[in-house]
Amino acid sequence: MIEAHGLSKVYGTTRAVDDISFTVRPGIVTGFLGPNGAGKSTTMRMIMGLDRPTSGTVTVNGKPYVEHRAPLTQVGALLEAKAVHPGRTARQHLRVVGATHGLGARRVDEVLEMTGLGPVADKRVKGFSLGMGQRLGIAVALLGDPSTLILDEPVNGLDPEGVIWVRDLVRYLAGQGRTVFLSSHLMAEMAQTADHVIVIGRGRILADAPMATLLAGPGQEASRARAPRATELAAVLRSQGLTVTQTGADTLEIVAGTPAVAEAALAAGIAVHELAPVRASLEDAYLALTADEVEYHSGVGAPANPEVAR
Amino acid sequence: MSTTTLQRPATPSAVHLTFGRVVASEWRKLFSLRSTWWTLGLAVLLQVGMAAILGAAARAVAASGQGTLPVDGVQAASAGLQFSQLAIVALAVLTITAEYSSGQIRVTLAAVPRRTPVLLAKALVLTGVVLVTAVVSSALSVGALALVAGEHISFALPGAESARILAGAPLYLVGIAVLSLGVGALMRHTAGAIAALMGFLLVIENVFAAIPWKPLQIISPWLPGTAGSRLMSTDADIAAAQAVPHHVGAVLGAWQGYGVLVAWAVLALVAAVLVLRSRDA
Repeated sequence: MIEAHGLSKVYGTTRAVDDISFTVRPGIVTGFLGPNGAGKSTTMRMIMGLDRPTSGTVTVNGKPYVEHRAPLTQVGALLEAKAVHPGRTARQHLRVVGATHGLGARRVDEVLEMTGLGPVADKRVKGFSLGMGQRLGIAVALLGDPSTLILDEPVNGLDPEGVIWVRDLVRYLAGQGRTVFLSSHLMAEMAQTADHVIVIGRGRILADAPMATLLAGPGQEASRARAPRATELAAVLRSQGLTVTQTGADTLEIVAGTPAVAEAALAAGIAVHELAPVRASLEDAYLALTADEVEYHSGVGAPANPEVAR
Repeated sequence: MSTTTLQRPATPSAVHLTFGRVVASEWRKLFSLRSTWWTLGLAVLLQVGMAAILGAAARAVAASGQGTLPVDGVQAASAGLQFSQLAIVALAVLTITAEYSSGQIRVTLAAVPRRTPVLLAKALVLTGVVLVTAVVSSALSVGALALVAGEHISFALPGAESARILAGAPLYLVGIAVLSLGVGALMRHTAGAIAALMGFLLVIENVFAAIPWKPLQIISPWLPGTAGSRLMSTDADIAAAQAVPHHVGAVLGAWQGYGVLVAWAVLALVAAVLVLRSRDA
């Protein structure tokens, strides 16, 4: 359980995090979504006591992180990949971190096994790929068998198999009743992983809602239609003041609900072979929410946020 | 201070922080890197090598019939410290700056969020490692000197004075190591910290000592390297300096001088702790 109250972080004149309050509950995966520079990493560092809040408080399991007697058993964090001296092996790195809490070789072997790093455990980190670095970071996070996990962009640099592995792992950990808080700018990934989403933009929380609510959130209804006389149908619909995009020889997208399209097609006597509502994706919801909040807009015609992976 | 909370007696099986475990972690951190062995080896090599060269010089001087080298054996054995201290500076600086350059510091501070124990543990581990290395190195230097110079170098100083000069080398290096750790933690940058320390110990201190300008002469005896190396001066040298009438600047005794070095080291470490606790990681 993570609880933030009125948390702010000011660097010079920049309000990186601006008076945010939220709760991350156990037993579910909570996603932390926002454009780059929105304040995700700063917030996570403040939870871990690495950055001092300018104002406000944040507690983990009822206490500030620094006050826990066994911090690694409370929170396991992956804040950046390959935050390891390149001259150490994966096993040595884990032994060094574990030693602070009396965690020894056996636990290190366990997390090496869990993260699939067994075969490279005694290789120096210097030669690790970004994906292997991420796995090592996750191994460090799991070391203390913590009740809360904080993962900053855990799928960054992972191959597709690794992405699925992280998704399964965080769902499994949440299923055990742990608190899982992970950030990502990969919105499609978030839609498949998180149960609850906190959207942040320019240091402020834009949405804090269950995934389902966010997906169904505000936004106009839209439909997709397939009709042999698509061009004709488009003209009819436009004549009724609807916005229509012809997406193929016989396909249209219409900014209107399916009933309106069906009624108009029937009245004009045009056969429609397929008609389906277009569900707003998390990406659409996210772009709608953050449209005014991204720090740097790219030029006309480009996506609102070029950093967003599609 | 936070260490007191960490020093509570621990149930051996329980998983939690103790100061002893932070020390164990720092020990493991230091010896899991090859660079540690390289720098320690280099420190030994430089001191022993210098002793061997002085031994060869003593033999050559004797062979040419010009008498003997005007240094005692124990002084010649610690002459290489001028150079071996640089390896110790590098080792001590790297124990903290390498954490910043790799990002490891955030993993370290997430595991030990009170922070202070991390620097204290590093200082403790460095002290132990440097002390043992320097004792071994001094013993090897005396051996090398005796082996190369034979009867041409004398170990003639009184026992207590010899002991002080011999023990002076490890003690001096410990002071330099802790000072370097503090400076490294304050600067957070490997090249900058090593350059600053080497420039200070090798260039600035020597320049201050050499230029006969009163303000510099007054400051010079209080600089860390100059003051600390008093511990390796002979009683006769110190007495001679003190006997000079109207000597500009203080003439520190052997242990007074070492006390000044320790004060520098403690000051640097305390400043580093305060900064580490207040700055964002």
